Amino acid sequence: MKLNPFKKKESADERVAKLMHERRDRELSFDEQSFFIEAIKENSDLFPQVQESSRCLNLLQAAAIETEVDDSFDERVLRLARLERGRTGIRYWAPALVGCAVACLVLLSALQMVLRTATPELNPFPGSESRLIKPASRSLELFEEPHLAR
Amino acid sequence: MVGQHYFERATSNTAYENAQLELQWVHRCRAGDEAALANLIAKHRMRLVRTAANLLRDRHEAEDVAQDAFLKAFREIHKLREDRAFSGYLYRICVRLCMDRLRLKRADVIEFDRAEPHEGGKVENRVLIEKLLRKLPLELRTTLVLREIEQLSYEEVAEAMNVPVGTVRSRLHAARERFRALWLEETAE
Repeated sequence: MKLNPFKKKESADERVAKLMHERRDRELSFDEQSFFIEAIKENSDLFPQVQESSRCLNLLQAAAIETEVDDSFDERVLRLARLERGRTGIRYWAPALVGCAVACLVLLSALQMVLRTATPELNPFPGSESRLIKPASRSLELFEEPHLAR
Repeated sequence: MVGQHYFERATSNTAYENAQLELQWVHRCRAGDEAALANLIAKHRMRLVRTAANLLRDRHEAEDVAQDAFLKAFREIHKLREDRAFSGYLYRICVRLCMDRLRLKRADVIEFDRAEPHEGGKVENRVLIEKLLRKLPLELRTTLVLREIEQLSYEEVAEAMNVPVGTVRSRLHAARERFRALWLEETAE
């Protein structure tokens, strides 16, 4: 096995600390177990440390929160999911709908333009303008009776 | 021996059937089937709310986060790969949402020291545990809670936090060391 010269060598204390925690997750091998027990026997300070470590982590486990889920939870999530799906649908179709509306407008205006050019010119006097002239109201006074031709 | 073998086979068969059933629900969910959606919610809600509660240390907020996690999971269900389990995907979303909330809470600086003193050692311990958890860096805290309280395996923690298993191992070691040191500090006072 090639040793990595940059890798820091694990000290006995570090190994004990590592094993102290790892024994919570897995069963230690025979060698690890005997090393751990020997280390505790040799160093009397280690035992209370291991005890405290176990104690605080056991208390942490005991501090788990037990939850009761509200009865309306499922219905609430389903309702929100339905709402969101509707919104997503609108968001999905909105660009297409806007595109359709714009295309319709363009088509209508194009049709209008085409139809306008096709309409025959109704004004017989180009360049002139039409104006409504109100005839002067004149009152005709009749002095004599008109001679009507027979 | 034969009985145990039969039991193991039966258990693995049931697990396989459950996974297949969940896969079917996911497919139907993609197609917009509301019954499948309801089945997925019913299956995962309890565990999801409990995980969120343990991470946030708040029952009411946990329901909100679980709800958001479900909605986000359903919204992005098309992103879920065929070979991945829905549960892992859902818990990853939930853990991320919890971490986001905790980050925001940190900014608020909630003082747990202000918690009312309770009678009885059990509640005091719980308050102390919550105080210590708040002192841990977010990543270490989440790893520790998922492993110690939620009892997830290293692989499951890695999946939920979206990190390699090696990172989980080193974080867990660091978290336990820090937690022990904080515990000693607090209990020595």
